[in-house]
Amino acid sequence: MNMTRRQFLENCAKVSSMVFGSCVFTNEVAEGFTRLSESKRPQLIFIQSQCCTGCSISATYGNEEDFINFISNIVRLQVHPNLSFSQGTDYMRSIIEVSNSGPFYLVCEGSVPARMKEACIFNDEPMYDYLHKLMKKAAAVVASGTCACYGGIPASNQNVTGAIPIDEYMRRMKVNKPLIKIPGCPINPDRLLGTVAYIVATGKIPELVKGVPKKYYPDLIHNQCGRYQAFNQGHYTKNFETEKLNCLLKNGCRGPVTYSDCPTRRWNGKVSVCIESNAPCIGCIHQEFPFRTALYLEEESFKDLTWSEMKKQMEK
Amino acid sequence: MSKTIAIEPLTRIEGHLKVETHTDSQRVTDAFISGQMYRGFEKFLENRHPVDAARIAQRVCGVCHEVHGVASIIALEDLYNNPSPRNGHILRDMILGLHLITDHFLHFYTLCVPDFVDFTQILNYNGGDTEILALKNWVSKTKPQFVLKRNAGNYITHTSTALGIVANYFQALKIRSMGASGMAIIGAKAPFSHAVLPGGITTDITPDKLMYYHNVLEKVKHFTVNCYIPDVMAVAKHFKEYFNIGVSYGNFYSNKTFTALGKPIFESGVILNGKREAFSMANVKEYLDTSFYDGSGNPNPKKKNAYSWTKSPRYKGEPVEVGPLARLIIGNNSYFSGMMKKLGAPVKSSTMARHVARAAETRILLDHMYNLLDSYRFGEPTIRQVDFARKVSGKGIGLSLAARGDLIHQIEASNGKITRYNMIVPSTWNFGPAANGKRGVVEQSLVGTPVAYSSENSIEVGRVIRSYDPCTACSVH
Repeated sequence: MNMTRRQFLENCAKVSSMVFGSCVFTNEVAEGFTRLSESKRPQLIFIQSQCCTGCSISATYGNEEDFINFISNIVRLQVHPNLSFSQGTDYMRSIIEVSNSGPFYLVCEGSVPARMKEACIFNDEPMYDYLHKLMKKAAAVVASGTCACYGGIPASNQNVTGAIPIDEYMRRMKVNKPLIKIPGCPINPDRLLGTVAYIVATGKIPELVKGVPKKYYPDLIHNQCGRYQAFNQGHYTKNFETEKLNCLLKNGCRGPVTYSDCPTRRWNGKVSVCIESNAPCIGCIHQEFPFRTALYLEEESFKDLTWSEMKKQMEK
Repeated sequence: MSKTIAIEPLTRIEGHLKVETHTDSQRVTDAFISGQMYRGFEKFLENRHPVDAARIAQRVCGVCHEVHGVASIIALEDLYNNPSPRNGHILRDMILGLHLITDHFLHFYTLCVPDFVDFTQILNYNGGDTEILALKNWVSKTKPQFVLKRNAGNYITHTSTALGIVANYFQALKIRSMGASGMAIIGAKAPFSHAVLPGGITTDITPDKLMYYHNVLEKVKHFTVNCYIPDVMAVAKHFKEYFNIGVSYGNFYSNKTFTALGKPIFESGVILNGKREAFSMANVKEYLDTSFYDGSGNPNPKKKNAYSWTKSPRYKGEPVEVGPLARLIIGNNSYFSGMMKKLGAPVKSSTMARHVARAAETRILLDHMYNLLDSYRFGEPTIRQVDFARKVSGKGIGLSLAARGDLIHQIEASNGKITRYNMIVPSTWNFGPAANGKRGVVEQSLVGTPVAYSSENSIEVGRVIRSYDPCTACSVH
């Protein structure tokens, strides 16, 4: 399709407003994300609910993406509870100023306690009552980490506080904004920083499968596993000490039910990843994490099952 | 005139914390600290497979991301009566030590430096350093609000001193990222290593991995010696009054830790009312007087007179301070006391002593990391795995440490299921609310703090609290 530059720019603006409801990107989109003029870069606000800060810490460690590069060349990081220099009322004022000054992305970490609302208080009010007010001003919401995406550990077992994930919260509060989920306990930095960079570069939300960017969670870990050959030949690990290269399926590896590009993306400057370190995948990206069954499922529990029955067992 | 001031939310810490102070004549006269979040971690673990604790308790905090895994594993090894072979212990301490060091960098630069140094000095830079020029350009063009909005206060404004520290603020992020890769080369990834299991480490350790780790250590050492320690000393010299602000009760406690090579790096002990004594778990009790829990430990947010989700552990009923300062005072560390002597400052609890103790501890740990690396023996086992299928019953305890203080994990299991899990973590010792008739450690050390710049968002109160490196996620598990 032939398009003049002018048509292209108009198209970009349309895409932006279609996706975001408000115009996040107009002609800047066409300039490429590193050439966006500094003052036009999208703003970012981070907010933490029932979280452990692990996702933010992971983001600052970076992998292929570098956090300093991200905040100095791609986005305008405006508010972050662990980085902001201000505190108390000054901090609250900066949230208000930024959220009123123009479009921003809201990155949410942690689940929201819906039953025991006192279990997360922010600025003297339950996070449950506060968060939707900020969300309604945001151009788009990013749920960062397994707790924000699916409830994760706070929603597990007895779920003492009635913790719910961000999508469920948005439904209850009738917040109608684009939502992107980046699961992982914690997130792999590339997936958060890269997804945001993609939106900055194209003005579009990347292709999502069940709310998750397909690019970063394309296939089961098992299907991309470096030890697939060992699995094919039936070489399983019995002893972690003497067997260092075998398939970890019988040690409870949840690679067969977990969608992620971990085996190729790797971690911390790409130096390693769980299975390469001979550690079974515990499915920290999985919707059901931390599962009702033991994290290291014993061989016993799926001994005589078919492959699909075993996978069902693994997802419990 | 007496006033009540609340800082909420307190930023640049882990988690959700509120501090309320009463002030009179620009001094704090009383303080109340509230942990504002609760999840129920100990409840999540009930009825689960004991080994799950290694992965779930590990995730109680993402700032001190390796320490709870290690404490939990020590408790599990006790439960299964299955200690790690020496090599496994060495590797685990190598992850733990490197993590503590990078956590200290995070604490000083990312969380505390903004309270002491005027970042806008970067706008006055006229030199030719391209990295600093890029930062200057970034600040002036994008106007990052997280940097430019700050508390009223007295900052280091001397341009070259400030610029040096500001440059290291960014350098620290890079070094931490490199440190994380050093942890990952052994433990699979950071945060949250999965290769660490009760009984040792699963990873196949090849020489190239240890060479990589060594390379990371060299860079971390370079940064520690040339940037971190000098910057802490510069801040300490500039803010000498903080050697007398933020003084707690003077009670300290620490565990015996880093024991892989036999002799521990930190000693176990308690200093109570000026007297040194041996630590005994029997003297530790968690009080719930002003915490949102009923008598049996179940959450009760409507409880009368309660104001915090944090519990209040006490030793023989007394509040005790934990952290690098406690570890070094209990160990009578001469390197640390030498640094304090150079600064002309007393070895006692104070805001600035805590910063200096962290810097000293970093240097001490670094030396130990090199020793650990040299003590690894190829060909010897790294793991003696536990039998996951065994229906274990019994108790286990893990005495360990985090960057911000010492740590206890307790596990009880019956017939292969967890029946009780309890964590007594650094930020409960320090940030627990009033109990047994006494203020918590940090509450006490806020009393007397001057409040000169802003009644609303006192920078001085922020400095005192942050010097303890609050990590509230762990404390409100």
